[in-house]
Amino acid sequence: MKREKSVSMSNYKINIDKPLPDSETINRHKNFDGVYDQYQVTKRFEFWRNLYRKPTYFAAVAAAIAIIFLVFDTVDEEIRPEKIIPKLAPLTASDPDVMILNINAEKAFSFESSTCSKVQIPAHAFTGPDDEPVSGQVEIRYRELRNESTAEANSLGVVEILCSQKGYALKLRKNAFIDVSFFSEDTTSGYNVFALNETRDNWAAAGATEVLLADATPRGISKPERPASTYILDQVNDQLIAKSITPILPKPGKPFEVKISNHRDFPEFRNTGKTYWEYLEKPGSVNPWEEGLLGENIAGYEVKARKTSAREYELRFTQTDASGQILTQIVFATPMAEVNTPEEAEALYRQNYRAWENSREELRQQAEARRREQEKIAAAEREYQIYQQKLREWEASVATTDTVSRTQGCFHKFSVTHTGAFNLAKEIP
Amino acid sequence: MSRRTLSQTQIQDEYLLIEAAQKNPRRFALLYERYYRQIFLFVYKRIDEEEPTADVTSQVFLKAMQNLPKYQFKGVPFSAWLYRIAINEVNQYFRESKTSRAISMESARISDMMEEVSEDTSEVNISRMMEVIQQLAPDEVQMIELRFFEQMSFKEVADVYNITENNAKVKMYRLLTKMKKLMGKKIEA
Repeated sequence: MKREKSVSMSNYKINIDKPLPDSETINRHKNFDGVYDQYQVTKRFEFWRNLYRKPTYFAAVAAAIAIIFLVFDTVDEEIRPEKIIPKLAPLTASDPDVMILNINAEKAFSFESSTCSKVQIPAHAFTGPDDEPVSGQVEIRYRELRNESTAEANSLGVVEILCSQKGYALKLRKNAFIDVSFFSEDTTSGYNVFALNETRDNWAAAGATEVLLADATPRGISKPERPASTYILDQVNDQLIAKSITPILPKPGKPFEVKISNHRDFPEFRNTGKTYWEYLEKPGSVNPWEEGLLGENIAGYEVKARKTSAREYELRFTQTDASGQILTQIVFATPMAEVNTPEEAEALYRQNYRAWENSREELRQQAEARRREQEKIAAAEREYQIYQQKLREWEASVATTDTVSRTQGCFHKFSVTHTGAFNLAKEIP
Repeated sequence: MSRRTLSQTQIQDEYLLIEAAQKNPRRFALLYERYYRQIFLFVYKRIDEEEPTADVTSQVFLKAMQNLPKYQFKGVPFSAWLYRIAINEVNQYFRESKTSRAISMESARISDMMEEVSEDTSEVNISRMMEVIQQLAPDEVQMIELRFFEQMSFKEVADVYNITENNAKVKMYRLLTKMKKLMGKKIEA
C-alpha cells in the first residue's frame, strides 16, 4: 500500500503519493462549448484589445480615421452647394440691409419687409443638393435695392431672395413659386422681371409684374394656378405653349419584289437586281397592288429606280402597249435591304405594321390626354378670368373707399421659380 | 520514448488538426479532447484543488484558442505549447490567489531524484531533500517537476521551455549542483 503524505513547509505544499482525480471527475469539468463561448466573447473585443495594447496598431487606426475624415471632408466640400454670398446687381454702390428669417421649410410662410413689400413662400418649397425636399429650419435672406429715380434707371429696383440651411444654399423646388409683391410709389404698369444670371453676369427675362393697389392684399381672391403638364409656360409672353406630341410612324405598305433595271447605278443594289420593297403611300404614288403592276403583269414592265431621299426611292414602271404608246406609273417605296425571301419580307412587314399600330394608339392616347388638358386649361382660364374680374371689382371698391392708398403706391406682384436676384425693369437692364 | 513522445508522423498528423483549428476554431474540440486530461492533471498537481484546477485548465485552452492563429509549427508536439501556457496560467493563478503552490510527487520518483543528488537515500536524507526543495525558486521547482515527477525527457523539457536540448541539460545540471550544495549544507548543519 502506498503511503500518502502531505508536507507543508514555508514555500510549497508537498504531496507525496496523493491520489489524482479519476477520469469521471476530470470529465465532469470538461466543457469545450463553454470554452468556445468564452473564446467568441473575447474575439469580439479583440480589435479594441489590440488597439489598447499595440501603439502601432492604434496609430494605424488613427491615421486611417484621419485619412477617411480628410477624404470625406474633401468630397463633402466638392458636393456641398456654394456658400451663400449675397450678390446684388451693380445698380448702386449702397449696401442694403439684409432681412434674415428662420422659417420651418415644411410650412407655408409669408412676411413683409420694412419697405412694405410682401413675400409668400409655399410649404416644402426648397430642395437640397440632392434635389430632395428639405425639412426643418431654413434661413431666408431677403433684401431690396431700390432706385431713387425709376425714370433714370428704367428699373424699380432689385429684389434678392436667398435660402440656406446650415450655411449652404438651397434651391427652389420644381414647380414651386415664391410670390413677391414689391411695393413702389410708381404705379405704372409694364414692369418686367429679369433674373440675374450670375455665371454670365447678365439679366434674363423671367416674366412680367402685375400691378396691385397697395392698400392691402385682396381678401378671398386667390390667383389660380395654371395647369402646365402638357404645356410650357412662356413667362415672357405669359402664355402656354403646347409641348410637342410624339409623331406617328409612317404606315408600312405591303412589300413587293421587283427587278430594277438600273440597279447598277446604286451601290446598295449592285449585287442583286431583285429587291424587296415596302410601298410608301404618298401623293403622286400609285399602289402597285391596286394598279396591277405586280404578279404576272410585271413581265411587261421595265422598272427603273431614282433615289429621292435617304430611305425613299421613286420606282418608275414603264410599259409599251400594242399601239407603241409608252405608259409610265410611279411608285414610291423604301427598300427592305435586310430581306432575302418573301417570308422574311412578310415578317418584317408585320413587325412594322404592329409598330405603326402601336404608335397610332399612342398618338390617340396623347390626343385624348391633350383634349382633357385643354378642358382643364379652359376651366383654369375661366377661373383666371373670374379672378381678374374680382380683382378689378376689388380695385374699384378700394378706389372709391380709400383714395389715399392709390396715391401712396402699389404692389408690383410677380412670381419667381428660383432664388436669386430679380430686377424689376421695363426693358432689359 | 516517454508516454508523451510522439513520432514524426504523429506530430505531422497532429499539425493537420492544428491547421484545421486555425481555420475553424470549432475544430479545436479535437485537440481539447486529446489534451484535456493531461493538462488538467498537470494543473491539479500544482494547485491541489479541483475547482480552481478546472478553471485554470479552461483558461489554458481558452488562451490556446486565442493564440492559435499565431502558433507556428516547429516539429514539436502541440502538448509542449500547451504545457508552456499551463505553466504561465498556474503562475498567474498563484500570483492572484496568494495560496501555497503544491508539489505532487510519487515515492518512486523521489528515489530517482535522490540518486541524482545524493548517494544516501535514507528517510532522513529524503526529509533534507524536501527542505532543499522548499528553498528553490518556483521556476527551479518547475524544472525538477518536469524532469523527475512528470518524467519528461530533456528533449520534452526543452520543447516546453522553447530552448535547446543541451540548454535544458545544462540548466538541469546546474540545478542539481545547487541542490547538492544545499544538501551538503543541511548535512553539515
